[in-house]
Amino acid sequence: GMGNCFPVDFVEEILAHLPNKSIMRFRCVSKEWSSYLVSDEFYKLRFTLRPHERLLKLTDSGFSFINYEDSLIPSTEQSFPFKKPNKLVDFIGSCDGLVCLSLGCPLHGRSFDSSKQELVLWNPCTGIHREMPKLLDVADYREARAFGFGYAPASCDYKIYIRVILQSQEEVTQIFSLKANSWKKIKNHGENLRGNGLLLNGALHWDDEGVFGAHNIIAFDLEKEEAYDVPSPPLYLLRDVQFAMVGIIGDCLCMHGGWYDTTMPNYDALHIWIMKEYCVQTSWVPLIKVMYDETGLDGCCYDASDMVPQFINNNGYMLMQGEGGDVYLIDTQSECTHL
Amino acid sequence: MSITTENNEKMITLMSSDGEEFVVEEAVAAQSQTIKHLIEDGCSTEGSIPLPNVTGRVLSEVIQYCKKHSSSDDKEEKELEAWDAEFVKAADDHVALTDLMMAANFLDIKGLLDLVAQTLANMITGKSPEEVRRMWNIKNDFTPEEAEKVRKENQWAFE
Repeated sequence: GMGNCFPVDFVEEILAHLPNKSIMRFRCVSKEWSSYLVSDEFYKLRFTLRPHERLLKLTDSGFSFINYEDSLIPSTEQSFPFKKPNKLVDFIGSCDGLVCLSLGCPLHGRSFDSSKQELVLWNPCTGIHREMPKLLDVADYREARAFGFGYAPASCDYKIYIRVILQSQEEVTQIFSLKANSWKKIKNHGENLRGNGLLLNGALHWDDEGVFGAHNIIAFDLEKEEAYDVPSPPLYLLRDVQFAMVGIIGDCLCMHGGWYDTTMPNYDALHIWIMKEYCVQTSWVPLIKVMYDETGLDGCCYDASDMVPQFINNNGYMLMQGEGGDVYLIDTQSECTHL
Repeated sequence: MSITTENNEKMITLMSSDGEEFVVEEAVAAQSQTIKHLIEDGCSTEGSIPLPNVTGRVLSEVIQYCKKHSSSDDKEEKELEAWDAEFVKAADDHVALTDLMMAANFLDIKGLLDLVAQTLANMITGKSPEEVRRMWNIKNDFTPEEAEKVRKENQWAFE
């Protein structure tokens, strides 16, 4: 038979190159494959090879996968495996196929109550999940401002970052180490960080809205637990741009933005700039311009500043995520599809 | 033995397991991390570099790949992808791909290893668990109850 022809020594490399649907199906091949295809070892290898293949779509009631290499149709929605009621699920971050979620109380807004909050790490492909300890001093928090999740490669540790505002207006930043299984308080950094930190090169990245017109990017190194400035595009690129937000495309930081003012040239498009070499300001270049009217972006999303680019493939398709987790696939040549 | 061409390119001689010799530019040979380290350790200064695990037939294909990839830059990414696709198509049977994969692994050429692994993965992507068991000679060791349970957990993959 053909069995002997297949390179048995390379089973692991070959399996790591499969799309998700095949991987899930092949868990039914044998007990050995079943346990290997849910192991950390396998997912580590796989995510170094195919980091951008799949999206996880979260709603209040459950989750589904969107695999944009074969079909773009979300899978049947599955309910979360957590004990808590499914409502109030907030995304903190994801890394190596692990997802960090906040359950039980809204992260955004002013009714944040960390005594009700449960933080979980979850692998949606296997269903395995684990509850993390609560934040320190849970009593008088008012709102969570900035958060993120990622991997510190030198210490082989996963870390959660949360910055909260107290009732007294004071801000506190805490870091959780999975290895130490504990939280600790660290120095605040940046002025105006908000929302999910974007993970790249072992650091979380945020816009730091400074004085009007300034487009600052702040990064937080998960290994050293220190902040640093990342050079934003030179001013001549962003001249008169009224909004600009940081994002990640592939292995590069990007910024996307545009003009609200109809008297400006190019106001009718979303512009994306990319930093080809990390932290090198001169490597910022314009990447693409997506016309609002041609793509239908205008119709599906009132305010393009809510859109975060996720991925551009070789055929010119770009995935963008809008407010509320809606995902749009944009053919940068023609139209926009709401997934 | 290392000689120099008119363009001042340093040449390296590689010898396959069946005694065939190939003279290639150092930059081409250095696409292989294994050969690169041998050159750095001075193994190329006396005679040819023996590659006991790779036959002449496979080595000539590997050299083709390395030549193409050392002469192309980023701008030609699309053209290179098309070339890669043709390259694996030419080796499109399991035995040839297996040989290429073993050579890419031994010579430590990451791009080629990924390319061949992806090609082999594509061959089983749409297959059923039963077909994969047949191809890889794997015994189904699930009880009917266990099989039903695993299938249920991964229901989406069968939709």
